[in-house]
Amino acid sequence: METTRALIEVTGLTKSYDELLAADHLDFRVPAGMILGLLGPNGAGKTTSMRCMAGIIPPTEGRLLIGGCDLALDPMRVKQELAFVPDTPHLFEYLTVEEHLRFAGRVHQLHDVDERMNRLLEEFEIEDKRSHLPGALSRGMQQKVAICMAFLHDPQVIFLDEPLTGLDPLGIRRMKNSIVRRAKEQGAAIIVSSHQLELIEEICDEIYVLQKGKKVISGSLEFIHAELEGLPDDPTIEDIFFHLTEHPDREQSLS
Amino acid sequence: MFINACLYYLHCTSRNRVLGMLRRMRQPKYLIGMLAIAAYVYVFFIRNSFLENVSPSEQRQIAVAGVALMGLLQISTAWIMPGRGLAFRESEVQFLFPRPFSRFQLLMFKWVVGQFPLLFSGFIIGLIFGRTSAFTFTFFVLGFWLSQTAITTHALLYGLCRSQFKSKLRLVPGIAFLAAVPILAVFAWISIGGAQTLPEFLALTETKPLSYLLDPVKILAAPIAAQSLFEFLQAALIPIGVILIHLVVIRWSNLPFEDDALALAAKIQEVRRSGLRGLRSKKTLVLAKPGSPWQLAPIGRDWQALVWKNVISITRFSKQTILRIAGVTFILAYVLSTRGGDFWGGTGTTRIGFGLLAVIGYVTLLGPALIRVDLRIDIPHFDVLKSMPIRARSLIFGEVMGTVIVLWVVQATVIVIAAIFITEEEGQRFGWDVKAPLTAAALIALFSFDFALLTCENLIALWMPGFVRLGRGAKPSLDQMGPYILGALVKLNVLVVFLLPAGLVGTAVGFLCKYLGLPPIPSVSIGIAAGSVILAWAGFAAIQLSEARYNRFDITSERIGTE
Repeated sequence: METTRALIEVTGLTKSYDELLAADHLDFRVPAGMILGLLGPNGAGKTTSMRCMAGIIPPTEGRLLIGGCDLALDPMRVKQELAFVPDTPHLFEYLTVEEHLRFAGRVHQLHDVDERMNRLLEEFEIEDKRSHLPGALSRGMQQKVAICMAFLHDPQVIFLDEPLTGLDPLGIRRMKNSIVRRAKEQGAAIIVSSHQLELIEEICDEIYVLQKGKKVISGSLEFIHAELEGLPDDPTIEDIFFHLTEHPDREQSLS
Repeated sequence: MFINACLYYLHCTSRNRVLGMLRRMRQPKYLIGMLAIAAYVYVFFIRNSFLENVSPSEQRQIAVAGVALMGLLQISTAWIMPGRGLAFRESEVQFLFPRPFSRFQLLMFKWVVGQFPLLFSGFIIGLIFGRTSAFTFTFFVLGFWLSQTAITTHALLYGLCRSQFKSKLRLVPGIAFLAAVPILAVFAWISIGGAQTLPEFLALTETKPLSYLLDPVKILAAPIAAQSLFEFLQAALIPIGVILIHLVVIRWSNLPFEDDALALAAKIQEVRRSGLRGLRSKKTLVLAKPGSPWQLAPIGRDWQALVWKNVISITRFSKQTILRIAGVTFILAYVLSTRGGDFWGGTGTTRIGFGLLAVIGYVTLLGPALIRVDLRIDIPHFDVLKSMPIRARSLIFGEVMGTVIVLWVVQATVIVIAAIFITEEEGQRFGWDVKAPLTAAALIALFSFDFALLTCENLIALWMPGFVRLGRGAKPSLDQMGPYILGALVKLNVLVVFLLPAGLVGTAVGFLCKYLGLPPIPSVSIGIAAGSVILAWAGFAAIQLSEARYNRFDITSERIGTE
């Protein structure tokens, strides 16, 4: 099998808080152009794992290579190429929408901020909100602003934590298209965490299921369907998810 | 890149904040409120000189000692709590931590942003204290700013070092230091026989061993007393040196702080959403679940359900809270019974009894402000309540009565205990022939007063929601204080309207009883009881008159600022 360059390489990722093991020796690779879906029940460790990979918090153990660079050794270089969209956006309360994007542009030293900003604001239909403060925006619009900030510098590695929460149907469609386009056309490696299983089924190439910080199974849906026993003939992702999380001792790996 | 982004953020945030405040001033309630605050600060703080009748050199020494004492307390509290340096907001964690900023740059972002509030507070302190001929205003402000910056930079480094240790023992140095400062201050106070004038305060700060702690911090505060540029620069060398050394150590050590910052950010968010309850850990909240001994009955009147809802909410406090209240009460009782004789006569138990009556006064006046489990919490949830089949008057009455019952039970318990303890004062004995009618009258009066006061609080919230703090969230910003002050003034006037007829009727009935030949104490008691009935009736009437307002209330069209 031809190995494509892995933009995200996670080896032995562990994060513990006193006795609580939020992530327990997780291993996976996400090559360029792939969308990995991170699934799991509440408290499974999805957000903690993503925060470790985005460099927000340091892992207790493990190695994180983003674009071939070690996050622990060269975080600045790694963070130039990655983006993180949180599940609940908390914007800067005294910056307008436009100022949020300009601020992100200055951080990433982008020279064509205006062009990128206008394109994203138009894509996510918040053009008319550019001079509004976050307090005047609905939750969905705040989410769109957070997404625009993340996509502004065309990152090669993107972490999306519940990206569709609060979006209207058009926003959801635009978001899905944007994720797929960035992966397939621009070659970004994307990890999406979501409880919306139909999103995962629709856009993800592979899934990685977590429960209580541990990996349950990983691989493509077809692979997982073939490996698991006890599933109905034409299982939905929902059937697979409940089957997996109800039997947490089962663990498979990619061949 | 970092400086560019940081300056841009500061510029936009400051500008938008000021513009937002100016825009709000177009609404009369904010403008009047802001003018009221400015007038209050001017009249009580800026116009008065606190350092009159003291020589200029003594003024400078007192100012340096005062700033140093304040700095000492800041250092000791910073040793317990991480403080501003590590207290990132959720927005900062989400948007700055994944960005290409080094740890030092992230900390410097917070440090730089924090300089403006420090400079502003220096300006205000300078306006209050630094305008006499003993000081040069500019040097006072800059000197105060430098000393505060040195202290906050030290607190940042200490917080970073402390966050590397996970053991609970990491709090020990801070607690020990925080305890040492007041203990040494009291020791110094006793050794010089008390300090009641400013020169005596100065002598207190120079008393050993308090001076061992204070002298190093005085060096940091010394620039505020500079009289010339050369003097200022000379005095500023040490605080600037302290700042630079701390920054170099922070940069060189590159200590991780992200976990602590994240935990703090979550706490800050919780406090903004639900007030100080947000500081309680989830574990405590879970363990405190069965904290209330009451259960909501499945059947009964609709307003009773609201009463029970609020009683259960109010009484759901942790064992630590009860222990703290009991501890403070015990200490107060001990001090009153053993040391209270220096101030007034009577037996030890009588002094405790009168002390408890003073506590009742505080509980009565402050209780409604502290216990806000009523309409003030529930107005943001009106969409749920208004969809329930409850009449307006029942709802308002039920909301008010929950807090009234809890408050009154506390007051009644304390009053009865006080009545038992008060036996004799300066040779005069108090028997139950006197105490019983007065106690009964006080119980009735307190119930009515609590009801009237809480009805005021709730109805002002209903009629003027923009003038009252609603919800559980954190304290309001400066420009919101103005409307809240106006709301408080309106509340006071409404309370007077309630109290006037009650007072008149009570007085009239009291005089009538005396005229009819009843002894003074029973006459007074009956008069109080009669006035209390009128007061309660006034509250009921006000609730009935507010029904239409409740029915018309539309939460989306009311401009309510809640957290």
